Amino acid sequence: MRYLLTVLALIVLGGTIWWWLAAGTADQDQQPVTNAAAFRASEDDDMAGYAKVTGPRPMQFPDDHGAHPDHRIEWWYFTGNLATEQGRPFGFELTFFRFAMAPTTAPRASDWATRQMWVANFAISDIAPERFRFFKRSQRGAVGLAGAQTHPVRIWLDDWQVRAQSVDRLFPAQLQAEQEGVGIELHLTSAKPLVLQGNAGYSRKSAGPGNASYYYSYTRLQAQGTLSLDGESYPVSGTAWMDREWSSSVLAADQAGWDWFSLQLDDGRDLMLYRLRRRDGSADPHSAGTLIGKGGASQHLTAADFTLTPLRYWRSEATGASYPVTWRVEVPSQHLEFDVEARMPNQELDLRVRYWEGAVSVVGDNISGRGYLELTGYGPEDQPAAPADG
Amino acid sequence: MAAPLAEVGRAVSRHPCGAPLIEFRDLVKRYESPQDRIVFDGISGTIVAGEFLIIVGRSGSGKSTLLNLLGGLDRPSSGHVSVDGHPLSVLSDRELTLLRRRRIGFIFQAYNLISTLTVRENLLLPLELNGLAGATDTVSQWLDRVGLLGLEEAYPDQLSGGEQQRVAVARALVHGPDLILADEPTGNLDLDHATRVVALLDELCRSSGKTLVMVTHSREVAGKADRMLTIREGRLLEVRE
Amino acid sequence: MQIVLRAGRRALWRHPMQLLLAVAGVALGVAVVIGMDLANQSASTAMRQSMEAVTGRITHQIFGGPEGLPEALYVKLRTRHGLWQTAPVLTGGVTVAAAGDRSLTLFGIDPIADDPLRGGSAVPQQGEGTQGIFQDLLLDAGSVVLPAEEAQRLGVAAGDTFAVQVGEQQRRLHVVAVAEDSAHDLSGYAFTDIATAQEVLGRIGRLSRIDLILAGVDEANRIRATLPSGAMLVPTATRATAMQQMRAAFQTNLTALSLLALVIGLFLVFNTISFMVVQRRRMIGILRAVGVTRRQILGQVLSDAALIGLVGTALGVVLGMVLGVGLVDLVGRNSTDNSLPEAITRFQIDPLSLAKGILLGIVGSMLAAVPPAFEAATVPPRAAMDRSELERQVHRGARWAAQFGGLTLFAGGVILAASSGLIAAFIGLFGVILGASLLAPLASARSTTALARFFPQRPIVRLVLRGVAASLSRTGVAVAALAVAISAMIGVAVMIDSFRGSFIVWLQQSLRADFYIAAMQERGTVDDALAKRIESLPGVAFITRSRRYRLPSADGFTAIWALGLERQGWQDFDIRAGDREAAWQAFRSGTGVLISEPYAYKHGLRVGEALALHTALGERTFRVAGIFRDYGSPYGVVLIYRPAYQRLFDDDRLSGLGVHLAAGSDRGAVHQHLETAIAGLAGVRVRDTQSIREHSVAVFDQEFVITSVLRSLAALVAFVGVVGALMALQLDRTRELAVLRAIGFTRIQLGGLITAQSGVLGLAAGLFALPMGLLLAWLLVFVINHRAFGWSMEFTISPMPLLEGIGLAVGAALVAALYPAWRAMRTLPARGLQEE
Repeated sequence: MRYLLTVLALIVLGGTIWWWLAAGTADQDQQPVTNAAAFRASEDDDMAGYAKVTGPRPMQFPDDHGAHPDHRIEWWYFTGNLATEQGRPFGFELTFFRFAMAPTTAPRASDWATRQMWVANFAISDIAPERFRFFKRSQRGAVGLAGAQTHPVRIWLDDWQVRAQSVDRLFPAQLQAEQEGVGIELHLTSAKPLVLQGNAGYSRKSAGPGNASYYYSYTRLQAQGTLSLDGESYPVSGTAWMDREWSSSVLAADQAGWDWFSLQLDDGRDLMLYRLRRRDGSADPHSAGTLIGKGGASQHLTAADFTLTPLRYWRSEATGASYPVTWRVEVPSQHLEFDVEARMPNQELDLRVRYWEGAVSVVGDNISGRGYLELTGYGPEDQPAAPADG
Repeated sequence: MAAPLAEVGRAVSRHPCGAPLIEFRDLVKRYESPQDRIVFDGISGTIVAGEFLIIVGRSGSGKSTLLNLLGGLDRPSSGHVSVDGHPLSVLSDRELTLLRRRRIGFIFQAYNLISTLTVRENLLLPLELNGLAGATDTVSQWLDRVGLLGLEEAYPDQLSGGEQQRVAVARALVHGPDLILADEPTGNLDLDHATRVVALLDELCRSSGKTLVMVTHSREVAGKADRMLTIREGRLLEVRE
Repeated sequence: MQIVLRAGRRALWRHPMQLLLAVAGVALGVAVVIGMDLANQSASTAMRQSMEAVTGRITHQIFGGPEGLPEALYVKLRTRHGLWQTAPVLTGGVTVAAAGDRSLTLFGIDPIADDPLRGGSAVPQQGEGTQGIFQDLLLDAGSVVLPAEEAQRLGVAAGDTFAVQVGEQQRRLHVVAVAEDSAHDLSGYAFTDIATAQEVLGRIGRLSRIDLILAGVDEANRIRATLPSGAMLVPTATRATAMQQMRAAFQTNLTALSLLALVIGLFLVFNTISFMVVQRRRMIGILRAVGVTRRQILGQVLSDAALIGLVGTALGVVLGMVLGVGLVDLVGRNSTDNSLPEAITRFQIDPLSLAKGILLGIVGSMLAAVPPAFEAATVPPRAAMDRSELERQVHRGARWAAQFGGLTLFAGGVILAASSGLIAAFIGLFGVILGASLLAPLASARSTTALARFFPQRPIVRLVLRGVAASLSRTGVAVAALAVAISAMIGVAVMIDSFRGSFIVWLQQSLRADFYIAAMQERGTVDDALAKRIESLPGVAFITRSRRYRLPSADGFTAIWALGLERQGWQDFDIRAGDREAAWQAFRSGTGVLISEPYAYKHGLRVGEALALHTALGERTFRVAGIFRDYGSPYGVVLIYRPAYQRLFDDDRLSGLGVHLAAGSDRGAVHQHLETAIAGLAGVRVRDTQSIREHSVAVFDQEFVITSVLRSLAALVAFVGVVGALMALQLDRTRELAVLRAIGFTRIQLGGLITAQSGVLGLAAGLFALPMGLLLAWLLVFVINHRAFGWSMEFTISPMPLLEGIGLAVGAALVAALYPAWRAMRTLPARGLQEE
């Protein structure tokens, strides 16, 4: 029936116009920024007054597990691959960020007064059904709402926290976070000693003075505990990684973002690699990495020692950003050559600071492993020539 | 505009028999759609006061159209119709309406009584239009004459076709027009009823000297007419028995 | 395509004007339902959102004793108990010496925690520099955000600094931003970070309260168990404000209007489609005569009805959305409450109301076609060709409809009388409206027929009058639709008038004092010492002392109103039940309390029954001595004699004073004295009674703007719909009109006839709508509003809405006559005679 078709077409047209109009009015007040922007010193004087990272310094533990309030940015990253006894795989991420809003403040009477702002992200990757749940919280670093303390070490925001079990050592530690029925409680022990990244923990990110961070990691943590999801509680175990950095400025103006790999290989070695991407798309010579041997001995890798080649991109329907989720990794000096594949594509955290952080698998001819991949600076505003702008 | 109107209206009954009542000259009627169809092309004629004229012809020959033109219900594409020497083409719609109202009575094939009015009211309608609203006696008289006394309060749809057409005849005559235009008044009736309606019309018109122009294609009723015209291939011809 | 179907389709194309009217009729019916629904939803969502702006989505609050709560409790709730939807509040009064001792409430919040809870409304944020304001509040000691009106009053702008007095201390506040306050309800507040609030108010380590969003009763009980003594968890659901009361009333009335829109839409669709079939009767008769089966006839009619229904619905959906958007926009522009249009522009579309509209348009069209099509296909072919046969049928139908209508009316009445719930009331209301409207066709036919009897010898007059009754097949439903629409207009207008009238009377009765002195916050400094000072001021005759207290109770709060009332003031209470003198004695003795109508209704209490309250001395029982009229709180209030309250509740504080002037005293001078008396008292304000009244009435009117607009919309759609229906009717009469022309009707007479017929029809519907509208208003006032709130109102009928209603009915009918009259006057009679 011709008229029926006409009418249907009319309805479809009307619906489309409606949808389009409705979509046009959707929330636009919260323009997300990509991770890179948050970590870049936009103006030189932005750093004025903050403590600068200009060279190696001796690390003191457990004190350095605590906060460094005079640096502008600081973070505690916990990521890991877990599985139930039956082998149901999960990924998790719990990160704490501290931002100083001002280099100094006058003393005030109220304990609520502070210049420290805390943000925490918590995500669970439910790999089998490819479901990604993530949450964000903010809090001021005052009156005990959020902070990082030592003796014993405790990093927390509300009731999300990582807490050392003994007074003077970070591990073993208890990690916990929960929101809206998604929760995790893990007991963490370290299988390898702490690794100072870069030059004794001093990690250059670009040529500019002060564009560097203090950086150390625990590359192989044994995790055991429970994960709750949709009203179910699962006993889980697996391997986790902790990354720890503080700085006042990381990226230079010509850097768009980074691709960061934390890989735990089945032969007992761990590999950390990061590639700093310039706005023109090329890799910055300050890209670096570390290979940690089975026994814990580490070996610094410079940009010349490895190549990272994106193989496949995944485009987020939510944000339109395209992330490289499969990589070719080559470290010729170590005879390492394998692919890194996201265990599920959608592990994007669409927050005010937007990035992709997710569980990955290492797939090679005679090597395999697990790990986490972090991709920042893939928002349209960070793209170099922006062919994807269309 | 009052003078000619009054004249048109008053001329009625004083008109001498045998004088021409209606004259039409070079009448052309064409319909622009569908395809510039010409009904007739330049016909002329005269209708004499007091005569009984029948127009016969095939369906679609233009009989009804001619009747409509004579009664001022329609306008010719060109040509003139004049009543009593007054050309209709110069009359305004109001004057034309008043002419119809006072001097002409219409009878249609489909009776066309007003369904929401009773028989009495249908007869009262033309009287009221002519300012004779109180003339109930006249209504009764006419109903008597068409043989429908006692059915005053009936509604048209309660009457048979023949009865309805007799009401229509009474309605056409009740206000005393001097020209009756009947468009196939017997078209919906059987021969018996048709004959009776025509006889009634003939009698009523002759007794009061009215002019009767009737369109029909039934030859049976034609016998009573004074004159018979036919339209054939757009021409008006006199039929002689 | 089947030839039968083609015949039907051609019949549609043959009369393009009528086809257009048919499609328009369905489209309007659908549009009014969808448009009204959309506007309602958007409005009520906006209501909810703007209410959320005040209380947020907060479900519970934790209060402490006079000294508030320790801040550690808040930290514990977050870090130990995992409550993350919670925010702290610390408020206190300050005065601004430079602005004539203006009282300000310093409202301390945590902007980080507040944002998700209240949508950031407490600190109004503006696009640019939001981050800046946010940081400034946190980092700068003494930084505040001021509402625009307040900044203007204090004569400060963003970047300025001003001094405030807190007790004996002087502090400096720094204005980091001036925020829009379009709702004008933030005046008197200065927003700041909790740190600044603690420092300025000298309440280091304390909070006034903690706001929470809790998942349910279980979580509330869990939290309650962990709270230290002195802290009390209370649900916020019962926070009663005059605003909320108005909004509730408003929504009730919107629901009623939506219902009316459905009835009107139903009638429009039904009218349109059944008219299409009626027009086709002759053709159906002929088709039947040549051997077309009934099924084929039904198929033809239904397929055409579906076509009209589909096209009409598609247009109607679009039109309805446009209508909804326009309506919302109109409301937004009229409203002075700016939070409303903002929220309202986030236009809500509910698939359910779309489905309702589509169902009405398509299924309704087909259903409407079935009875007349079935009838036409069932009667012998000859009868089908006959109009009079149809009219007889329709008269039978009208009688049947009237009987059914009477029954429905009766059933609706029974439901209303026998039930007590609000939903039952709406069902009953629906029944009454539907029933009454079904009576409309027969009533108008009967009344015009009866009227025609008075003109036995006037066929033209009778032609006009009898035309109404005779054309029932084509006008009956239109008359019903018109009657419903007009009665809705009248009903709602009368209801608003009644409500407004009662509200004003109540305002005048309850605001008898000349000035009111009010404490703007819980810890205000209105006390008996101040009362004594004011009582002794020259020109003051006497004062009333008032204390309003929200007593925590099992189901939230009981609003207690302790009034130090003397005999003079007693007369101002509008006692609705109970003996005035006995009530006074019981009230005065402290054994009895007065309750407001809503309280009585909600708790099912009568005079003489007992009411238990949890006092400081334990549970005490009071006798209900009387019930008084009060529109101030939709949840109701318990009025108690203040000395008794002071004793029983151990609370000597005051919320306000009513100042009555002595005869002949100088208002201006007393006002000055009062201002001087309260100067330096934080959070205390003097308000002129007249300004309170004006403000209250303005609030009332503003709340009813949307109702009025929707009422006008109902009227407009009815108008357009009825114009369409009547126009179609007149266009259908071409042949009859040609006959009249042949008989001798002039053009003017013919035009007059058409106009008069249409006008009489409109008048009949309008006259019928009068009692129906009054009935509707009566039901809205005495049943719906009473059941919703327990309020009683005086029924006020002013002539204006009634005249408007009739005017609209006749106006619509006359407008409907314009085109047909013009067309009939233009048509040569010979043409008209050829029409079928």
